[in-house]
Amino acid sequence: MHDSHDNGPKVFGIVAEYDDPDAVLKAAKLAYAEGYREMDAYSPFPVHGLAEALGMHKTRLPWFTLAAGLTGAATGFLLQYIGNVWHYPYDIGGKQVFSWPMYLPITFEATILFAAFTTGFAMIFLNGLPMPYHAMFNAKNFDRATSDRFFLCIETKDRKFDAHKTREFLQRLQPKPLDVSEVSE
Amino acid sequence: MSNKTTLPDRLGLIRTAGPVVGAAGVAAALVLSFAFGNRELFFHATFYSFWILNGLCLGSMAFILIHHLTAGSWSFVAQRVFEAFTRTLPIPAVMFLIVYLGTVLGGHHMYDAWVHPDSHTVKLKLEYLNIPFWTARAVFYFAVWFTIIHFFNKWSRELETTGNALITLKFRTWAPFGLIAYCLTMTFAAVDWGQSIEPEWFSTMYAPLTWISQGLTTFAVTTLLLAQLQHQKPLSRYIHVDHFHIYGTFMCGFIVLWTYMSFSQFLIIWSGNLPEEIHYYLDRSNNQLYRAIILILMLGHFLLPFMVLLQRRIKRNVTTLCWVAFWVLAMRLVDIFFWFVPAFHHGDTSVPWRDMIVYACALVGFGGIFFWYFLGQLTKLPLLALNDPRLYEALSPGHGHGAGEEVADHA
Repeated sequence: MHDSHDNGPKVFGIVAEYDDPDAVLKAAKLAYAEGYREMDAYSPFPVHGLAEALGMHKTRLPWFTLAAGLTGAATGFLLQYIGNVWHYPYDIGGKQVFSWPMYLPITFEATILFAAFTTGFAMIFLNGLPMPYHAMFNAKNFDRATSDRFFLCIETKDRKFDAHKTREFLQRLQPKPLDVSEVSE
Repeated sequence: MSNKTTLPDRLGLIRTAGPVVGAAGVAAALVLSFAFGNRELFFHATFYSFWILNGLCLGSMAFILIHHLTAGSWSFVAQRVFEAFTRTLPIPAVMFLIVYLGTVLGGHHMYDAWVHPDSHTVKLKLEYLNIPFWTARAVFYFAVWFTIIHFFNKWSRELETTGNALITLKFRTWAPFGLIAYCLTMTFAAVDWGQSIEPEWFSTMYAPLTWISQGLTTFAVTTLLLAQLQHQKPLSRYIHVDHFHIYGTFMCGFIVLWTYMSFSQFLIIWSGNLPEEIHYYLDRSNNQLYRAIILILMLGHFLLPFMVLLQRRIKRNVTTLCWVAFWVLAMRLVDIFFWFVPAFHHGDTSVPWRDMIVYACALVGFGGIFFWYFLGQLTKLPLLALNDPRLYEALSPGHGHGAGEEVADHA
């Protein structure tokens, strides 16, 4: 539907600007209730409840962590098992060759190592980083998103997006945004 | 402002039933241990219940001291619960007296290994392990704890009635000393009362494990109590699902600590395989029940609650979190059973079924009396320290704990 702007640059979305965290939280809730899903908010600090208000309930990240943790556990355990039982079976203090309690510290360490690194990198990957360019930097006043301004952007890829209706919806919101403007791609 | 707290129905029921259940439980434990022809059983069972209930009082005392050091949002919501638990210390103190009269003075065999020593190693330790010195130390520990508890509760009551905010400075000044005193006295108390049952054996993990166990038990019980108390004023205006989330996270952390300490204690002793140490684990794996308990502790005290408590949605749902807290509490009871019962039955390979029955009766009995007294103490002050100036900073939305925005769900 963003074809309505045939001549100008492609539109990324319509953004509402606020100077109050509660206002942007309320706007996000109203937009979600209106049926908008492809939207995001930008704020200088974490606003409590904003992620939930935008509908970001679930993340796939724990599955990455679990898979990596299990891989780490298997790696740590097998590393020692292969070394101590297959390659160099040694009698140490009369203990059995397969003395598995001894393996647990390294198994645990490997689990944590794999899980922690994977969680970190998977988080970066799932966030779409590194991202050298983002259309939001074209938004008016956006450099203030790191100090004292709060933005809610409804993106054109949303199924409900309509250049006129979405703009009108944002303008009619209570509390009223400081400004509503179009962001080009 | 009303100066009293009313108990919600379920806790009111516990308070009403407490003395009756308590008397019945203790009487049953006493009768059964005579019926089984083993009077020592009653004292062992009293000691077992004492260890757990004393842990609740002292774990709470440690958290009160930490609370006054940090003034965190998580500890403000439970401050009154912790304080009421510390004021319940007279009950474990009486239980300790029963155990003392029955075993140390009564000539029973709980501390026989050093009261009537026959091994050379133990004889070398008699300058520390003898009844007069041991008794004096026990009196000293209780004196220190009662002093700390007296003053921190007195100041808390003064702050409540006078609203003089300067009292919080006293809290801040004395809390660090109290915490150091707790760690030192609890270390020596754990060695005196618990570890000296097997005086040849030693483990530097014993005292840290005792602190951690007390903390974990206290967190589990506090979670259950907060779930009951969350709709009582003035707590209901401030308590938030985030607080339950924090208690879930703490339980997870303490479970990992418990596992780390228990396992490293085992690993060092098992790999060293020295005669004076290894008997601790030989005595704890010489029958089917103990071997089953080892498995239960590995899976039930570590793996299951750890995996479950890693999940955010379980910690943010009060109902599911309460089930986890129940489970953790049950595992604590099993773990303490595993600490002491094999020591009482040194060298005996039969399964102590009779002990389990008497222990259960004693725990329900003393637990009933304990919680009756505790709930009475809990009603004496409002559930939040509204006169503490630090409360508003701790519970303000800027700290990520916005009141009233999101209500704990009961799915």
